[in-house]
Amino acid sequence: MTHATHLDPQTLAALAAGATAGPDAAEHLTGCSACLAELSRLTGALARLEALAADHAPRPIRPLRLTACTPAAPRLRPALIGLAASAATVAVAAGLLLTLGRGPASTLESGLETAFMEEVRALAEDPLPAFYQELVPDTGASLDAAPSPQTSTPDATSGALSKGRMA
Amino acid sequence: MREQVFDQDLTALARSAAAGNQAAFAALAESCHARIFRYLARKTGSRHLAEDLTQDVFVKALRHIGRLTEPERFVGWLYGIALNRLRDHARHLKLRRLLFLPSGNGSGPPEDVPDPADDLAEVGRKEFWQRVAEFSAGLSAREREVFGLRFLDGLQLSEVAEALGVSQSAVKTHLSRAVAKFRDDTAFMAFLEGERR
Repeated sequence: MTHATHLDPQTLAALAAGATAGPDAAEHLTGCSACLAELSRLTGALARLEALAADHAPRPIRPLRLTACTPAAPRLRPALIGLAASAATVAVAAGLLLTLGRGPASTLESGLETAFMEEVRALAEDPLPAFYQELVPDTGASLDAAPSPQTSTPDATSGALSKGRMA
Repeated sequence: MREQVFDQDLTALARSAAAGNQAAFAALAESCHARIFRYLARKTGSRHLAEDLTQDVFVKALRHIGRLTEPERFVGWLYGIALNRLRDHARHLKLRRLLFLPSGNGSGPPEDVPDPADDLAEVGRKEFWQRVAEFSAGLSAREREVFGLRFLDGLQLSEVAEALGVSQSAVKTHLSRAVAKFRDDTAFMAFLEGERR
């Protein structure tokens, strides 16, 4: 590279920015005072900029307060993250199970409800279920102060009940 | 040489702090407090906000210092935390704006709370930063960030790369472009040369 072809501005900028000069550029700089002066002017201006920026920078007034905080255990953090991830997985799985389990649970609930309604219906049809009739077979009769032949049996203690059963 | 010794001190302190020595961390924080504040003040234009964010940066650094596996990269790592804190703050401001909420103390114009200094120095300081702002306006966002960290905050290339999470070659590329624009800004160059005298 001759002195007639000086280093281009991009190369000078790259060198001033901290790039390492290639063999050609390094050789040229050793023999070209113009390029060397230009590079020196550029690096000098940047150094001046850096120094002025430091001189004119604002300074903090408020002191740092670091006493109240404690450093996290460095190896504990991944463990905590893993634990949290596991907990989240379990929670999601539980939620899924509950959601999926709504079918059987609903079936169970509806089954119980059906049984309950059957019981209610049976009570409506027969307010004195069989087991009760067996325990107190004569209750209806004893309740009647003046039993009559028509009301001597539990079935006949109440016309409404009889009607209900007959219905 | 003095800078190298200082960097070695920082590395030794960072190694000790990473091993759990809180006194070493306190010494690190003392050494880097002003420069992190300076970076955040430059980026936010607000002294009060920069003080708050600086506090946050060191609290976060203290929490995570145990993860620092390469203590020689402490400075870049610390600037990376500061940059992330700035990004969080920017997101927070954006969200507040979306919700039509007041932006708090970070959205106002730069606060003019001068350092204790005489009037002449204050004028020189303002003019300097005005010139820097005018030059920076002609840079791309990445060029501005790289150039600012390198020449306004005084970071080494490796520290700029660490702070931004990019390769050193990427830093050099952006920095070369920024320096080329700096060279072409004859007014700024003349101002700096005038300041030299």
